[in-house]
Amino acid sequence: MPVTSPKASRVVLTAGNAMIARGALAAGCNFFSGYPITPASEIYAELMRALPDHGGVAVGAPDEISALSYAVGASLAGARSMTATSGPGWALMIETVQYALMTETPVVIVVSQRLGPATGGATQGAQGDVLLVAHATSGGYPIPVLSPVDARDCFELTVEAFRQAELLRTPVVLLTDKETSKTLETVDVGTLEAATVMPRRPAATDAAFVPYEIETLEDVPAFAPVGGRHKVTATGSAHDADGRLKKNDPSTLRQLRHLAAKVEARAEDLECARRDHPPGARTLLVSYGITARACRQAATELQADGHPVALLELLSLFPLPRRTLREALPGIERVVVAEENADGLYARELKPLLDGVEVRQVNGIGAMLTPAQIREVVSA
Amino acid sequence: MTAYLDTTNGQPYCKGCGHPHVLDALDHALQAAGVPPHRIALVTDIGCVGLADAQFPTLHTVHSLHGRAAALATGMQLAAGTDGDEPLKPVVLVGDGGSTIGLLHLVHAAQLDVDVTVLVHNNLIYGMTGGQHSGLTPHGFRTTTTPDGCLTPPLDLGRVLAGAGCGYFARARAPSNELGELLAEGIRRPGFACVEALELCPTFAARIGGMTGKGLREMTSEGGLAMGVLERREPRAGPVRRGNGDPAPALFGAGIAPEPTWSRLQRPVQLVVAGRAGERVQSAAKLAAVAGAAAGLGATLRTDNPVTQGRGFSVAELTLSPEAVRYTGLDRPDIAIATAPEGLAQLAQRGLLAGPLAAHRIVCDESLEPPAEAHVERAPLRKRHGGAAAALGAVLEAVDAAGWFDPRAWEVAIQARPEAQRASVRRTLAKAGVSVRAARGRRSCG
Ligand code: SF4
Repeated sequence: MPVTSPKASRVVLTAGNAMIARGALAAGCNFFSGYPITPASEIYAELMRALPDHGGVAVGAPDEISALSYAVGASLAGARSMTATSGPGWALMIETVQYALMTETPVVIVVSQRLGPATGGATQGAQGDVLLVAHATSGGYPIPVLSPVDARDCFELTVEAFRQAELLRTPVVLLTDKETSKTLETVDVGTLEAATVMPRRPAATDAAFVPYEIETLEDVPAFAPVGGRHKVTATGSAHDADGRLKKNDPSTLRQLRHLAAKVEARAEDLECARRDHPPGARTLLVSYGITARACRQAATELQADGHPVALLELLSLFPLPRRTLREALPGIERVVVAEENADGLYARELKPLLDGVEVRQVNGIGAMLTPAQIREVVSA
Repeated sequence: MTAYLDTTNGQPYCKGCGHPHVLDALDHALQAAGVPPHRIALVTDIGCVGLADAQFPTLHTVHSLHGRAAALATGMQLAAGTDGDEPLKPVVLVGDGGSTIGLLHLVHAAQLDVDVTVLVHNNLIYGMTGGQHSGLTPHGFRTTTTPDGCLTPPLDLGRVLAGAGCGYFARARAPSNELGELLAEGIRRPGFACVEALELCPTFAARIGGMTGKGLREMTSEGGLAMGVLERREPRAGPVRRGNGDPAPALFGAGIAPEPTWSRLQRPVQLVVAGRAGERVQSAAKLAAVAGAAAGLGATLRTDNPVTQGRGFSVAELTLSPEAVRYTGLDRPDIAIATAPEGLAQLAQRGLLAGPLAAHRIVCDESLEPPAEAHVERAPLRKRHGGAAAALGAVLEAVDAAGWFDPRAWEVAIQARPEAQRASVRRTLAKAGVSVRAARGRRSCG
């Protein structure tokens, strides 16, 4: 794939974090709250600098709980809001993530992974948070997770994260990693598509407003901001369509089922992936984030040696890529899942979808996986 | 004026509870402050205090997680504060327990002087969870979790928040005549305000701790707890930077229009330069990356340094490729450069000096002592270019010798630098013997 197109090429050398910040601006983000943490800090600094000039508000918070609470509060008032952190900060945010989910409040949370657990290795990349971000709710409610492979993806998937958050009225995670966040890279910004993100569906001005009203389980309720003419009732407690606190009333249980159903009903529309299936390939190399780049190189080398390999780069991890796999699996006998964690965390999620094919894994911590490691498992 | 408080279905609190008195005062204050109802947002914390939502059926109510009400209100106000005709006025209803777990949110809201009013319902204990002691429980007070009396002194919210530059703090008993007035003043103030209402929880503070209305009065008189307005300051300038309303600037700078005919590469190449922090090692590699981009190459640049960024080593790993770079890690680099001992140690640690991963060409400053088995070229890099430009000089020399791209690309990269840096880069370029004017004959490498 050529680096530059013949027309209108404008190449910049930039990092994934800067592209996430620009992607947020392009998506109409107008509220950001941050707390410093390696390797996500540049997003915070960049938006503190740039957001006011784009008509938005950026604020530094005294901890990650505050950072996400500010972002959720802003979104309740109608803002398109975002925060950015790493694994340790995400751990502190989890209660508020559930609050955003329960109150159906859109918010984008960037999680740039580093080696864990606990403080781990602040400057060592990793892909160890993939299940921690997806399974952060009591009850297992779905959280859409997007995952960029390179700096250009960082821009485009930040826009997509805002689209999904607004569409679904739910928190969406952009899961990246130290390498993708911080590595400088040439990007031809002249060929980026202009971003348009539809706002969340507004409540009709002339009708009575029922805060969580849905007709079918899959509906996304219309939105009215705190501060507007419709009286808003928001609560993190189990509630009925009116937002009234009720524990196990049928109307409340219906609202809870709806929180999952609205995402699941649109699951296939939320999937993003890149794939390549050269003729004759019987092995499918599946990866995401920084490791997908090692897979690209491994596949190129294998192809040069006369061993064609199909490539699947997952740009969305949750909801699980059922449609993508359905399209990618015909003709495939063996799937190799590569990711930078000790045991293959995401592979655990994929395996139930890979019935009837041999599954192999490439895993490791403490360094980027190399093309050689991947080739070795493919060829074994 | 309409009352916002609706008690047609009664009140959900225990008999004798102080909360209804506080809500009466709030209702009075909201009316007195004259805020249009749609610009009031009640943000309620967890606990008996959170039952207030249902009592104000015409106002926006947001029921928060435990302790986070003030943080939600802060975000809400910062985002919506300037919308519409009137500022949004969030009023936070929180107990002494919520003020304990969410103390930092109160402190930061006070520091920001954000237009949020916090109404603390201080009944000395956690009510809904069964009468446990909180951070505001008086010393010696008996609760379900302090059977011999509370062992710690109470947190004085007024003094804590005063230390955070709090614009308005007041304390009053509930019921009392002052409470509503103090609250109204707090709500009117275009900035942060905190009003602490001291009140009784008969179910726990009275039954277990023996607290009475008289006891509360004694706490404030004999106990020395200051009452009334304790802080009153002029509102500060806005808590966050706001734009001036000019059209938004472009998302990206001009960038570089690449000239692909300048590339001489058939395959990806890699260069590692390692030296001492502060000696512009990463900046040198960046110049080469931008020059590569000017020649239509894909570039990635990984950098590494100790967590204390101002000292120790500094390493940059550059990959240039005729296609978009796939793998960004090192795979037997073409060139490795060390300009200082810290950098040499990093090359050794990466296995780049000898063995199967050794770089094809290794250049290091003449002052360094590489291991005997390494095939290293030594050059007077520091002497020729000075310590701060040794990395740049070495990168320019090595890339030029390798002929990865037409040297005119350097000039494009220099133009992309801030004006003030260009002259010194050009001097180093000259010392390195690189001519950016004349294009050389086309050749291919790699
Ligand atoms: S438990 Fe205490 S605070 Fe709660 S309603 Fe009863 S008296 Fe009031």
